[in-house]
Amino acid sequence: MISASWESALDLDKRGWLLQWQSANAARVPAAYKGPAYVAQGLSALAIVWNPKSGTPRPTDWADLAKPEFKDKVNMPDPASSGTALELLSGLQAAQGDRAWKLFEALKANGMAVGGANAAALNPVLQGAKAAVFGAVDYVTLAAVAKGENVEVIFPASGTIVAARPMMILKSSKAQEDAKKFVDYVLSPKGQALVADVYLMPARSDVAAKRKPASEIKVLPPEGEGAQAARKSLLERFSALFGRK
Amino acid sequence: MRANRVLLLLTLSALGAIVVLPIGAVLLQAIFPDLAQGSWARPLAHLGETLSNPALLELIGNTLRLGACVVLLSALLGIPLGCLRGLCRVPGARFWDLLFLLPFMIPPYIAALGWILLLQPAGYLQQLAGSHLGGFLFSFSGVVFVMTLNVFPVVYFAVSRGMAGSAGRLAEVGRVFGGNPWRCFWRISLPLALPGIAASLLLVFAMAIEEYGTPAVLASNAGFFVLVTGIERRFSDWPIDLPGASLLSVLLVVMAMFAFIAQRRLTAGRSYETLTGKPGEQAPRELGAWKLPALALFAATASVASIAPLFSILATAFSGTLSGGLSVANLSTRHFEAILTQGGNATRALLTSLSLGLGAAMLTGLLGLLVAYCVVRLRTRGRAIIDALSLLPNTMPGVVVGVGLILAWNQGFWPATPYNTWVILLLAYCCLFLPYPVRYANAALQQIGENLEAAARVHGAGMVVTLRRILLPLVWPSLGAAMLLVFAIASRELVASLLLAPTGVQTVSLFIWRQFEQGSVGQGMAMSSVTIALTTSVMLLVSRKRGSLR
Repeated sequence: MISASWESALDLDKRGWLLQWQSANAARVPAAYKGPAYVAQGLSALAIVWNPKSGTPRPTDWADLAKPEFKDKVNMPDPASSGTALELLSGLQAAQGDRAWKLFEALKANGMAVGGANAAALNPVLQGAKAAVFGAVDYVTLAAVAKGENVEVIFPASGTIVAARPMMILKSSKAQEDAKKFVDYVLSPKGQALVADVYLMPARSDVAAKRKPASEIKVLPPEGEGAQAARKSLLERFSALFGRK
Repeated sequence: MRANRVLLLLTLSALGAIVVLPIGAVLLQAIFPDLAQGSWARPLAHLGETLSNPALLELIGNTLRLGACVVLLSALLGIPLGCLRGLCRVPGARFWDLLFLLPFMIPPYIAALGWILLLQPAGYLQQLAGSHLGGFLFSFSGVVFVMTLNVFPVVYFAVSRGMAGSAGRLAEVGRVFGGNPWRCFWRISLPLALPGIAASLLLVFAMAIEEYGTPAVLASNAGFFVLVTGIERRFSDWPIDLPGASLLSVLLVVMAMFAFIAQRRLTAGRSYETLTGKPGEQAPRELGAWKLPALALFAATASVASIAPLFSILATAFSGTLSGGLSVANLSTRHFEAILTQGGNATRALLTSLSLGLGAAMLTGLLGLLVAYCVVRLRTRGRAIIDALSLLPNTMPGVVVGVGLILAWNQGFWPATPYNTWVILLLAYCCLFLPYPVRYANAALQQIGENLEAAARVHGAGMVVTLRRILLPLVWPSLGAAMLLVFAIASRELVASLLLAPTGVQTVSLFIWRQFEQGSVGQGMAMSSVTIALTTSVMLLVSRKRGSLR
């Protein structure tokens, strides 16, 4: 099983549903991106996606999107339907505390629209209806750029989150041997090259990314204990701020 | 009479398997909040929490407002056009039929996206005409506008068929007896077509209050939410609130039931038998001086309802990049090439969807006929239950039926389960779309005089022969149309498919959805174009065949 949310692996492992097994090919994956029963397939980062033809100044940080030039021109994926957007929300709050909420209030006042998953937030920016996405998954956009779409992926100066995509095998699986072979293959140099081909950052440190690698992206400090448990109230506060029902 | 009892039992058990099971599962989940964990504890414990939420009243109010507005506008648009088409000689009538069929061929989630790409700031309209309608589109009015254009053909086709069938012929009789055209229309045609109109408007109301994609995509940022979006949010967004979602689903069902009862009241106690075996040749009226205005009305409606979204879909499918906009340099067939070269994924998805659609059309057609026969002809106590059960799915959004089927079939106690096979998709489609054949067959049967059957019996025909030789051929035009509808809608159903499709089974809608999710709108729209073209030609072929048989 491959998930886009690191949390789901932690959660399933805590319930004891995951096979405790580590691929031999996981040796070159940094320790932060593997556990006793799960390992990253690849990594993505959240970024600002900006349309240069939108007539707005090039943003360099999250806060730029709350400026008057971006009035009614910003989209954000809904944290309730996009796990990575929720991680960004949580990461920003952990790093900046109340300042993060001031930012979201300013963004709300500036007419930022919240809705849908990643593609729903991105498409209006591609056509030019909106100028920027707050917290778009980078590899999807990079693939669009490679196909000729005229947008730019900007990693904010104050830091963003890097989301690892965990692979795991359920204890209940009837095809555990095949699953192990699959994980071995994905973590082989050949498999990691395929991961790099879709503009994800490969999990193995010795396979080159076809884009800006994680080491050159400013990452928000890791969250403390208890941040997981606080997500529900975090989401409720966010949903209340943006009037979701 | 024994045959009748067998028929009744057969119909009831089929309805039980297809309709009662998923809906019952949702109902039980709504009552017992811990049911998903296998516990019957704390019945209705969450009732207070869900019902005391102040957002609930607003959700209900918005849902009713949306349903009412869409019904009103669909009636204003569909009834006049349908009357013109049914009673008068409109030049290019078959062509207009085809154009008004198009909104059916365009799945709502794709149409909504098409309208966004067309009307939003920097959209195609702005690129062509210099201004956009983003403010209008992303609002309540926008939702009503888009949804009306999607569903008004239901009214149009119901009215035009009703008028062309019996209502128009009796109006001719009125004319012979000296009534002027308007008087004949108001006193004969319109009242006779009323059950059809009411049924179609009821259908529109149900479609409007259960549609998810359009309000979710267009109006959530305007702060407009309806029951369905509330259900969807509780079902799929973290943290998942299964009992709350089930409870809102039950509320939605109750609302649609009220509409159903209202329709019953409206048409109760009248006889609509007009098909009595007497031959009738009917000449459509000439429009005379009204020809041009009528044509203008048809053309204007068709270009907004059909051409505009289709243009947007095709423009996106043939654009190399979305940011490149409408320009010759950006013209490209690469999205279509990509579809063809993806290892046969696209063709497999297409085949899967078409087979499932065909299967659903045949099964619902058969069951719909049985249901209609039981309801209209058999005077037993079971008929009201059968009628209500067959209409219930109309009130269940795809997401509810999907979750209901999971709750019902993902249980240890079944010796065999369709869950995780393609059969569960077929079950879902049959449940969701059963109301169409039922409504159409019902309306048709109501117009057939019972003396036709009596005549068959007198000549020694048994019930089966009577059904096959007398009723079926007479009901077939309506039933066949409904089955075509089911085929077209089932082969593109999204929400239940998303929930239920087993690993490795991909339908067209899932293929398109994943394209949209991955950010390749172009490829999604290319696949949509292929599907729309394909289902439209199938419908055309079938209707031409039927035409030549007559």
